[in-house]
Amino acid sequence: MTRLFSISIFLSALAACVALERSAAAMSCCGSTLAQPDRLGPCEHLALQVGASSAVSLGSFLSDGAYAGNPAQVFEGEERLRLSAAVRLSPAWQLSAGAAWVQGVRSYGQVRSTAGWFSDVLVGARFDPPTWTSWAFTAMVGLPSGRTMAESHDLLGADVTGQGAASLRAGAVYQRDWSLNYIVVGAGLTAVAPERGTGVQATVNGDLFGALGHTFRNRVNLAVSLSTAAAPPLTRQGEALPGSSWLHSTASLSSAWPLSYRSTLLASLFATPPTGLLARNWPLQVGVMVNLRWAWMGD
Amino acid sequence: MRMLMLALVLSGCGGQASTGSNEATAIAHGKDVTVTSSFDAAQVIRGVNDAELQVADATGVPVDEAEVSVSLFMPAHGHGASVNPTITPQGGGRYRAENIVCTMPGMWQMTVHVVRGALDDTAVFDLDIP
Repeated sequence: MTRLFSISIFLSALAACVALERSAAAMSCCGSTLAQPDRLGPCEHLALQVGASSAVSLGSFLSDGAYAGNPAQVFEGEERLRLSAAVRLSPAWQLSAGAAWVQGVRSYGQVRSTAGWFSDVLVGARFDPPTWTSWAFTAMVGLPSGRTMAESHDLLGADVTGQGAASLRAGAVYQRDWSLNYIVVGAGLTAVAPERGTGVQATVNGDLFGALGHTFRNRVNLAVSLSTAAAPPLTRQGEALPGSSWLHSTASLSSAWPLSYRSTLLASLFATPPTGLLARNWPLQVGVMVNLRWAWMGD
Repeated sequence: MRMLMLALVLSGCGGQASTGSNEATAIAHGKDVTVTSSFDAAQVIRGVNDAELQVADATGVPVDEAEVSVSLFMPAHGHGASVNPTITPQGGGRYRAENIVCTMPGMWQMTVHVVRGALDDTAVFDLDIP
């Protein structure tokens, strides 16, 4: 029972973090933030996850924080189909990898387009110190396999899935549970290499996230989470590009339902909080995500 | 749909700063060229736009038979457009620019590059995309 409860809390935290992963990729052409790597729960040795998500943009927060709703006859949406896997190397170390097919949908008046391409490939590692059981340290590498704006084959850029820059994120996570509840908070820094084809130079951005969850007696979980990431102005040829810093946040409501001994359904609703205090140079998006996860446990 | 809003910015070639914008046209000055842009329906929209560019030299004489190219860049996001606009000479210093595609709201820079013989200059427009 204790093991089942631990797994249940883990799944709740996972559902919240998966939602944050989706939000981190909200604008793949421009801002690069890497989320937490996929992770394994207590006693799990291997996990596979397939997820589908859909998001639409309702408007944008401009560089001064002002909100501009989409004009009539403008539609911007994005569907993602993501596959990822995580494997345990030792009690303390886990590795994960994942990538997505991203399908953009754009409509500007009479001109409409839908096109897709692969996202950047993400490879991550997680270290759970044996002595500090509430802490974990993570690293994530983003490989620039996505298609940039300059490489787009689509008139409206619906197939743009990356900014053409490798990235490396290092972060820390603190998690604590009590009774049927848990809290997880984390922070990270992401170094982004120079972008190919644009002359935009390397930069570093930072992110914070937190989630609060509850596990019901039937092992169903509910979690709310909030993530915020920020980046300084981009530079090109040593000059800061005006208005190019960004800030974005995502709030999510997530849940996990155990379907069988091995499989779990994870679902999330997510949205950009409608305030210029938490978003600049970023679209206001709302979306939904559903993930199926299979896990294999050891003894 | 919003009204066309274009404003001159310096071309980086030491061009004289001045402004010129109204509902239908906008003017950008380089060091050696002046480009007047007339957008269809006097609007720049998110999506696909077309424009007619009138190119003149420093003395106001139309520049015909030049190599004219147009590129887009969005400083706030550090990238350009998914396609380069196509340019078709119309004669009399006029050039038709098609597929000026701006896919995000905010400020975009449209750079017009003009080359003819010893003349090699750029003029830059700011486009405010709703």
